[in-house]
This record gives sequence, C-alpha cells and structure tokens, in this order.
Amino acid sequence: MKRPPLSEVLDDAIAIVPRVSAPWLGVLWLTAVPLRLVQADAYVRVADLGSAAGCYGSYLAYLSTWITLLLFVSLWGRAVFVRAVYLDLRSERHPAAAVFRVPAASLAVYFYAALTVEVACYASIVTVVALPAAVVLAGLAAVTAPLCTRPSLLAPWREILSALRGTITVSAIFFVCVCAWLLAVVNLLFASRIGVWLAGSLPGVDVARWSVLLSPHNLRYSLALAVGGALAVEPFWLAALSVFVHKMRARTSGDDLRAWFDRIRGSLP
Amino acid sequence: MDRRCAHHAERPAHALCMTCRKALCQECAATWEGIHYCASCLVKQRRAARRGLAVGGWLLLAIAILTLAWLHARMLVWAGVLLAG
Repeated sequence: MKRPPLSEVLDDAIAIVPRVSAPWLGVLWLTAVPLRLVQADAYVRVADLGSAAGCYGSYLAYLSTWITLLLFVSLWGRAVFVRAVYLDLRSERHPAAAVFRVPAASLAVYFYAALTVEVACYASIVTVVALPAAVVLAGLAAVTAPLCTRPSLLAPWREILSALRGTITVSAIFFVCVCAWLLAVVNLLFASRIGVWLAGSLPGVDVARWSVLLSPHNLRYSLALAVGGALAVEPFWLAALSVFVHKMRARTSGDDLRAWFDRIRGSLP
Repeated sequence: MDRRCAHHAERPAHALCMTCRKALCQECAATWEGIHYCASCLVKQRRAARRGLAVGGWLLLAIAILTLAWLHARMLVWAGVLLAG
C-alpha cells in the first residue's frame, strides 16, 4: 500500500490548524495547560524532596490523583480538537455544539488507550525509548479513536497497529515535531531574555532578580519553557497524524478516488 | 395440512419462524445461526444480540478505564520516587 508522502501530510496539517484554530485550538490549550503545569510543578516538588521522596507517600499520592484527574480533562480537549480536524478534512460544517459532542464510545476507547500508554510509559520510565514511544502512541491513540465506533478493548490497538504500517512517515512527523519543539523552546527563551533586557530600561524593575528567575538554570522556568514549546507544537502534531491516518484510510477504501471524481464532476460546466 | 406463507398466500410454506411460529416461504425465511426467523423477528434478535454485546463492551471498558486510572496514579508516585531517588 502506498503511503501518503510526508510533505503532503505536513502541508495539509499546516493548512488545517489555522482553519480549526478558532475556537478548537483554545479548547485544546485550555484543557492541556492545567495538566502540563501541574505535571511540571509535581516534578519540581519531587526533585526538591530528593531521596526523601519515598517518605512522603500520601503527599505524592495527592499530587498524582490531581494529575490523573486533569489528564481526563486534557484527553477530552484532545478528542474535541481531533474531531474538529477530521470534520474539516471531510469538508463537513457542523455547529460548535456538535463538535463538542465527541461520540461516547470513541471517547471511552480513547481514555482506555491513552491511559494504557501512560501507564506503560511510567512502568518503563528508566528506558530511553519510553518517552518518545509514549508520545507517538498517545498521538496515534488520539487520532485513531474516532474510528472506533463501538466500545471495545481491542479495536483501538487494531487501529493503532494499522496506522503503524506507515512507521516511516509517523517517525518522520515525530522528528519534525521534535525539531519544531526545540525551536519553539529556543524562541521562547530568547523572547524572555529580550523582555528582561528591555525591562532594564524601565525604572523600578529589578532586572537582576528577573534574570535569575527567567534563567535556564531555574528548573521551574526550564519546565515552563518545555511546556510552552509542547503546547505550541501539539496542534500541528495532532493535525499531521490526523491527516496521515485520514489519507491512509482514504487510499485503502477508495475515498480519495471518490473525492477526486466529485471534484472533477463539480468543475464540469 | 398444506400450510401457506404468512406473507404470500399463493406460496407453500417452507419453514416456521422459531419466535412467532409463522409459516414462511423460501423467500421470507431468513436463517441466522442455523435457525429460521421471519424478517421482523430476525431484526429484533440481531438488535438484542448487538445490545448485549455493547453492554458487555461498555462494562469491560469502564472496568479497564477505572483500573488504569488507579494504576496511573500509583505508577506516577512510583516513577516520581524512582526519579527523585
């Protein structure tokens, strides 16, 4: 089976994100920001506790419960964004309320697949491949969940495996997004440095203090930069994967030919 | 006694619907899992089977999500302690 070329997938993803940005990008960010910030904060607190972390079981359990609850909110936001992208890909126009109503079966299947990926990632946290594999599988779980119309424990894995037939393209999209994330982080860092430098000309601004706070040596700030970069790239990552899965399926089912014939028929006088 | 199809009086009966016991001609009789049904009973039967399957699927999925959510919270603590230690 011929895979859609990477350039085509990325071009379509870059065109789609601005089209669905209002308001679906806002929904994605509003639901993702609390989780990412709480995750970053928990990481700093655990790092502060150091080797004594094991003695603070109930405190860590409290933090992890919040993260798990916020994860559900974030997953719902992702499901809404992916639904908006798919509706745009199929050129369907729906009222906003209809986009919010993610089918219950797809949402439940997505919760199940995403939680499984997260648990597997934490279980293998010490390995090098855990995080990249979890990011790729979580992304594929998000974009293949709308294809699961019935509650099932196996259907999401079947769809993910079918999407992984294009491993090279998925890996290439991941690589591009990692580069974009690094660029976003560097841009955010320089923007903050320029902000501090400009603030130096204002009277009453303690530049030395802000320089220390907004320095990459500050763990909280470094994590905030990483979160900011991830938020900037996440919509493109999800859109690119959605386009890829949509095109793969269209080529298998013949939907791309049907769309092509419709376009030709529409252009006839 | 010569039985006739419940829907086509001119046709001889070929089978009996195992739910409503109506006589059916060859065209009206539908076989599902080796048993004859009339069209309306077959629809009811299939719908009930699908509903049963969906309820089972929902139940399994709900149990899996709750278990994974609990496991997720535990694994987070474990991973945190591992990374900090």
